[in-house]
Amino acid sequence: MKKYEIIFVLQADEPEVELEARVAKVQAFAEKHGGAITEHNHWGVRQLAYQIQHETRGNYMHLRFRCGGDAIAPMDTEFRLDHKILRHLIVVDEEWKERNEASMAEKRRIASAANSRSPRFAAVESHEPESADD
Amino acid sequence: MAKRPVKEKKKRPPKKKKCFFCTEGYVAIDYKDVDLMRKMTTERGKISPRRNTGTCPKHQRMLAAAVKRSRQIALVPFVKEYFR
Repeated sequence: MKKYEIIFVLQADEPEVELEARVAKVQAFAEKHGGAITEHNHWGVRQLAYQIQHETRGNYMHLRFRCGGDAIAPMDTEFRLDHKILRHLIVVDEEWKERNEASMAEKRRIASAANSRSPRFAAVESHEPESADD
Repeated sequence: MAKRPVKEKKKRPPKKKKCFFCTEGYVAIDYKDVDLMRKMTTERGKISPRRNTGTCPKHQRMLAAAVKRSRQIALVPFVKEYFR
């Protein structure tokens, strides 16, 4: 089983029920292939970067799910044939955010360790002339 | 009177830019991060060249892939023809 994510853009003037129907569809596909949705992110109505079918605004939904690879092709066709979906994108979830946060935290830890080390070096240097006087 | 030789002005070599992603500690570039995509593209929506941003080759490749993905779902424009 692999991790995937899907973003689809529904027409902005469609009611909430339509959105939930699409989410249920993804859920059904995932469950059929032994998986489930792990995260729902409703971005809401956003301005599109360019017009799609004369629409300037779209309702964005981002889902992360786990399922077998066989589900992806039929799911893609389903969304492609859906007239109320302006755009959709299904990609393998590379867990960008988690990986970046982990590496950034590591970087910060190293930086803070270097900072804490430097005053100690300064202290050693300041002691040296005193010992020379003795 | 002998002419004073004209001194050639020595130009200091430009300061080498550091990769933004390397310094921040990015290991992967998320196409969903719209602010980042906006930051790394020009006003017209083109991907900023390395010579301007100083991004390292590895991150530039990741960035290009990410921008193209985010164009597909209309988060970032392909071209912005009319801008101020």
